[in-house]
Amino acid sequence: MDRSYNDDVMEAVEKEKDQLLQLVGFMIGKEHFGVNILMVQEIIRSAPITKVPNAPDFIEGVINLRGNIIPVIDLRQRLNLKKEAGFQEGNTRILIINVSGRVTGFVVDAVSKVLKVLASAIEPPPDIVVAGLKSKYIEGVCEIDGKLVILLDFNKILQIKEMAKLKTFSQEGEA
Amino acid sequence: MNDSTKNVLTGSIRNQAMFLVLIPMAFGFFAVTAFVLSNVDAANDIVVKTLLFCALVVVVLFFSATYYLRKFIIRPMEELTASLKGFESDRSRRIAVSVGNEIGELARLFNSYADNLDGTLVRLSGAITGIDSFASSISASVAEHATVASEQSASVAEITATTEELSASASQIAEHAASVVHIADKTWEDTKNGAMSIESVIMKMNEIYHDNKANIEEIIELGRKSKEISKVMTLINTIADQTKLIAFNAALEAASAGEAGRRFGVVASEIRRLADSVMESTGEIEGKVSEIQVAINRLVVASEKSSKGIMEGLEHSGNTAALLSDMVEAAQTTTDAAKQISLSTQQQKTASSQVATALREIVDGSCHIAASIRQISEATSQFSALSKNLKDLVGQAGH
Repeated sequence: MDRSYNDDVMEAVEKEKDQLLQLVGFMIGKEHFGVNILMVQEIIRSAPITKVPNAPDFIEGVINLRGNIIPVIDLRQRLNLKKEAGFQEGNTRILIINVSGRVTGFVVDAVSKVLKVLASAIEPPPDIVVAGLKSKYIEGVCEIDGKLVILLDFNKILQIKEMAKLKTFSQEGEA
Repeated sequence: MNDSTKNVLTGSIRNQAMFLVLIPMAFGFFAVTAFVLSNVDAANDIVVKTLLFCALVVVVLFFSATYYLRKFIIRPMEELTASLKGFESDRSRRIAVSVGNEIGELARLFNSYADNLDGTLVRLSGAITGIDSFASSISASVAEHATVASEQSASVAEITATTEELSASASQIAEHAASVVHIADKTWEDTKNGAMSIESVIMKMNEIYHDNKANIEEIIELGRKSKEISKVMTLINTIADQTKLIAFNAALEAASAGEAGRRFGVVASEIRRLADSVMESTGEIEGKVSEIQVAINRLVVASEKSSKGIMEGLEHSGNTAALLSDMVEAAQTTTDAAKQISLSTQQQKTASSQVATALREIVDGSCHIAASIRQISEATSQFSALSKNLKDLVGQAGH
């Protein structure tokens, strides 16, 4: 399936000279999400998260990534998604993403694979609430292999205040 | 007879002999006188007269002598004779004693002897009556005896018959007892064989139990091995996971490199695919291993259950073996008892046949006794007849 889909995409790229987007596919619960691969710096296994006293409530804690202290945000909590039965805490991944020049970790349940999708296949978000999160976070929705993948804009996922807090926190952390 | 009586008797006979001499002398004198008178006619009157007077005196003397003789001898003699004649018919008759001479003495003696005889006869009659009554009572008791003896003989005959039946049934019992002995022997043998069989069953079951135990150990070992496989699988999975992550990061690097990293991106995606297929395979293997483990668990449970069953079987077999050994003992005891019974019945048979023989002898003896009693009865009746005759005789003598 993968191969045939990829072949199709390649054919389409060759034919239409369409822009090909690469997405990192990940999952929270049963929902599929995608993020532009160029935003993702790295994917790591879930490392022990150190709780930080007096930290903003949306920040889970910090991790040590090869000497760099990085704040970590629980994306599930952030997107107001509920934990499902059978959820395994230890098997999670952390996406290291550059959010407005700030390297931040986002905890997701699992990373599926690199998705290749035509820019034309991405549809704008519908005017309704999708999967319990506000549409302003959603960059678009596309269908891959019969599954709906929600493209998230991590630059919009944090509010201005929060961004400021994050920056302050990071500076404090660095300081 | 005392001496005085003897003397009196001899004296009186002498006197009578004198009388007897005197009478012929008187007759002779008288005859001489008559001759003289007839021949001497012419004889002197005085002589005649004297002769006549003398003759008269002789006649008077003669007559007086005759009277005397009659009165004192002949009359008593006649009376004596008559009395003796009457004594034959009437024994109570006695001689009237009218004279005091020897004849009177004789009469008195006779009377006294008759009195004695009377007394003796009365006593004899009494004795004979006693004998007669004894004889009749003996006869009665002999008859009774004969009856009892014949009854006894019949009873003994019955007893003999019964004893013979007893002997027959004793021999039947002996036969049955012999067959019982045979059967008991067979039972004993069978139970011994059964006990031996159960022993071998127990041995086999012990072997099975040990085999089963070894099997369980093997199975548990197998489970351990499969768990180790599981661990290895987990390790491989982890490695595949890490590979996948590395492939992801490689893809990220390729993407950030842009067009230059495109081919590298293909390699990265291939590595990721490889890792995926490895994970798929490990997943399958894990599924199989877990199936194996479930099966092993089931097997262990089943084996333990069967082990328990074998243990119970062993226990039951042990109980059965104990019961069988008890049975063997009991069968042995039964055999011994049956043998004893057989022996006893044999003895009983012998004894009852001996009893029968003895009883037959008793029957013979009682037949003899009956014959003897008949003889005794005949003798007794004869005795009775004899005593009756005697009594008649005595009665006749009494009258």
